[in-house]
This record gives sequence, C-alpha cells and structure tokens, in this order.
Amino acid sequence: MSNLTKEQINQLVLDSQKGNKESFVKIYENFYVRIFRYIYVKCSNVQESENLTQEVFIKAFKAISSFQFKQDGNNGPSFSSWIFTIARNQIIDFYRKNNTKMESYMDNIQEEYWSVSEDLEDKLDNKLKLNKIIKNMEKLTALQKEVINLRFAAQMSLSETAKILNKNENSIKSLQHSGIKKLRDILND
Amino acid sequence: MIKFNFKKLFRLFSNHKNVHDKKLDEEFNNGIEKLLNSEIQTQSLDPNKNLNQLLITASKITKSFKSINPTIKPLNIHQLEPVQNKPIDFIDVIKKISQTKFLSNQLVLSISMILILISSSTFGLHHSSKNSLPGDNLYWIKTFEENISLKTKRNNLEKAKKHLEISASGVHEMKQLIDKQQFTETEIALNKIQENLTTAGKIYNKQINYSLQNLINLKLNHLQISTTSMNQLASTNSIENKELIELQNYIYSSIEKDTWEIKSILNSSCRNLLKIPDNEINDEKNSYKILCKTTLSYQIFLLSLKHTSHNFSNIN
Repeated sequence: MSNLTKEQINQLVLDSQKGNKESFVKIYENFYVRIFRYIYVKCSNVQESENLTQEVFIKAFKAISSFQFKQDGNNGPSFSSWIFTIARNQIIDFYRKNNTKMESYMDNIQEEYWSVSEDLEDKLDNKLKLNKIIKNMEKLTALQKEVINLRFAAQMSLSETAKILNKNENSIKSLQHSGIKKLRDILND
Repeated sequence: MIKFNFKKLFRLFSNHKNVHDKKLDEEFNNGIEKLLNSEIQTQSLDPNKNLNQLLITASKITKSFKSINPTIKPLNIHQLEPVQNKPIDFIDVIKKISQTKFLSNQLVLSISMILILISSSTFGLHHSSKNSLPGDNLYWIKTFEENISLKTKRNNLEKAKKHLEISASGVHEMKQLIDKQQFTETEIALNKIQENLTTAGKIYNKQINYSLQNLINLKLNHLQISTTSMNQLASTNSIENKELIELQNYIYSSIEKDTWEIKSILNSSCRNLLKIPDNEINDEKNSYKILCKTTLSYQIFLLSLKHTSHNFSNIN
C-alpha cells in the first residue's frame, strides 16, 4: 500500500480534475486497500467488497471535477474525507437496495488476503480475531461501529472521521473510547 | 415561590464525571494516535491499568484490520469518462419536488425558484442568457425559456416551427463553441439539434398522414354523403391544409432566404475544415466535420419536408 502525503494527493486530485487519468490511477492505488478494508468490515464479503470498492472509485472519478479544496477560513472536507463519504453512502445505498444483510463468506477468504505476516500461526490468529471483532461489532451502536471502522480499518484521522460523520472531535473521542471498552472483554478472554 | 431547576441541579452533580471522562477520552486518544503511528509497543504496557487494557484491545483491532490485505484490482481507466454537466431543466426540478413530500425546506426552494425567475426577468438575465452557450452559467435560463415557449404552443404545427427554430439555434451554438475551442460542450448543442429536428419531423409527418386520411375519407364518401356534410368535411380539411401550407411556406422560405443562416454556417464550416491539413487530427477538425454533417443533414431534412409538401399538393 503506497502512502502519499497530503500535498501529493492534492496535486493528483488537481491533475485528475484536469482530465489526467493516470493521476487518478495513482489515487486509486493509494486509497484502494483502506477503502476495501472499510467496506469489508461492514459487509464481510470479499466479492461484494471488491465490487463496491470499484464502484466507489468510478463514482469518485465521475464527480472529481465537483470536489472543492478547502479555502482559507473555510472548513471544507479533505479529499480522503470526501472519498470515504462516497464509500459510506455506497454501502448505505447497497443495503437499501438489497434490503437484506449479506451472507458472510469470511471463512472462505483466499489466503492472499491475509498476507501481512508470513507466520502461519499469526495468520490464523489474525483471521480468527478479525472474525470475532466483526461479529461482536454488531453489539455496538451504529455510531460506535462507524468510528471504529473509520479509525482502525480506514485509518482516518480524528478530524477526518469527525467530518465524515458530521460530529465534533470530542464526540468521536468519546465514541471510540466507549466502543473499545465494549470490545475489551471479548478480546481479552 | 422558589422554583427548582432539576436539570441544572443534575448537570451540577454530573459535571465532575464529564470532566473525568473527557480527560480519559483525551488520554486514550493520544495512546491510539501513537498506536496508529507505531510509536507505542503494547508489550511495554501494564495490562492491570484500565487505560492500558483499552490500548491493548485497540492494538489487537488495528492488527486484525491491517491483516485484510487485498490485491489491488486493475482499474480500467479507459472506461471512465467524466459526466458531462447536463443543463439544468427546471421543469424536471419542479416535477421532482411535486413527487416528494412537501417539506419546509422544499417550500423555501420553491419560493427561491420563483424569486429567481422574477429577478431574472427584472434584472435582464433574460437578455444575458439569450447569447449564452452550453457550459455557460446562464445557459439553463435559455433552455428554460425554450422549454416554456414549447409548452405554450397549443397547435402542433406551431410546436414543430418552434422545434425547428430551437434546432437552428443549436447549430449556431455549435459553431460559436467551435470558434471558442470549447469542444466538449458541442455535444450538448448537437443533442439539442438532433432532438428538436427529430420531434419537428415526427409532428410534420403525423400531420401529413392525418390530413391525407381525411382527404381519402372525403373522396371515398363523396357519393354517399349529403352536400352539407361534405362541405363541413371539406372545410375541416381545408383548415388542416391551411396550417400545413403555412408550415410548408415557413420551411420553404427558410431554405430560400436562409433565415436561420444554416447554409452560410455550412459553407464557412466546410471552408474551415478544408484549411486543416489532411494528416492532422484534432478536436477542432472533428468538431467541424460533425458540424458540416449536421448542417448538411439539416438542409436535407428541410428539403425532404419541402419534397413531401410538393407531393402532398399533387394529391390534393
């Protein structure tokens, strides 16, 4: 996963707005994994997550000319908040259209999705823990779930999470605290 | 009498707890920030401390989420095309509003729209929009006015005339856009030409068929009906014919006098196209090619209507 600086992202966005498709591909490569993780935590289905991630980028490409950078004194969204808002709306839209909860295929995920560590034991451990976390996240409130997903899966900053959820930073801190508290006992057994 | 404000009293007692929670949230968040930036090693944390327990949990969650590591699917950029800014059709906006529940913000929107319309006529937006082109801020006013003028035409043949005029204005817009090197917007003008020309043609053909049918019926019934009824039918038919003849004359004069300057646009576009070298391929050349084809098909279309009217006169 490549990690571009904010300035590099802004430059790529400007170039994409001028019609440079190669710049958009770089944006895609930079955000793909984070958006996929965010969507996967919500739907636990590899294929749907892949499709939805692609759709998020297609929507972003079509609308990129309408994205406006924050101006002096204006507290506008950053590009990452903007694209994650698209991802969030995409999932809401998906559930609204399908009107059902998707079946989880978590146990059948191919091995290449769990390639962070080479150690087989670690892989298995992470896989089981992830399964447990996602299942138990159902016990949290919708906002707690959203905050944990955005902070830990999407790796969004506190201010970006606040902007996406239209809350202030103190509320996000509080939601993050209470959410982890609920998950603590489950993971520390 | 002294009134107790229980809410304030409750806040007074619960204030201490809030301060404490805020502090804990702050400390916890600082730990998370360090954790996400890999500055903190959870092995060094004391699991007996409440805050550390939470940070260890957060670390486990981060590690598990990071283990989701998909291979990036290739993005087919050639399939991606930015959406053209469609000119705002206020009729559609009003329709959408009327389909949904009438909420207070929609009421505000409707009032704003009425105010915009009033102010547009008052402050000369109408005049400014008259020469606007696709992609301009005021182009929607022009489209709006065209839509309104079409809706006010009760007679089908009047509508056909208006469609021909709008279509011709599309030709002018296209020419101006090419001159200004705004090639992307030419598609909007091209759509406008095609849509209006097709509608005008459909109305015209429908009217011709209708009049022909009347004429055939009249001739078939010639021996069977009374003189009075025949006169009535003949008069009805002549009304239809009058309108048709009027439209035919309108089309005829527009070709002869080149009212809409289609012929001159066709000539100048062809001249400009010939100036561009054969081996050069660019947006300007492509746009001129399309404009030449469009103006040519426009002329052919008008001539075909003229031809139909000639045949129709013969039958008559």
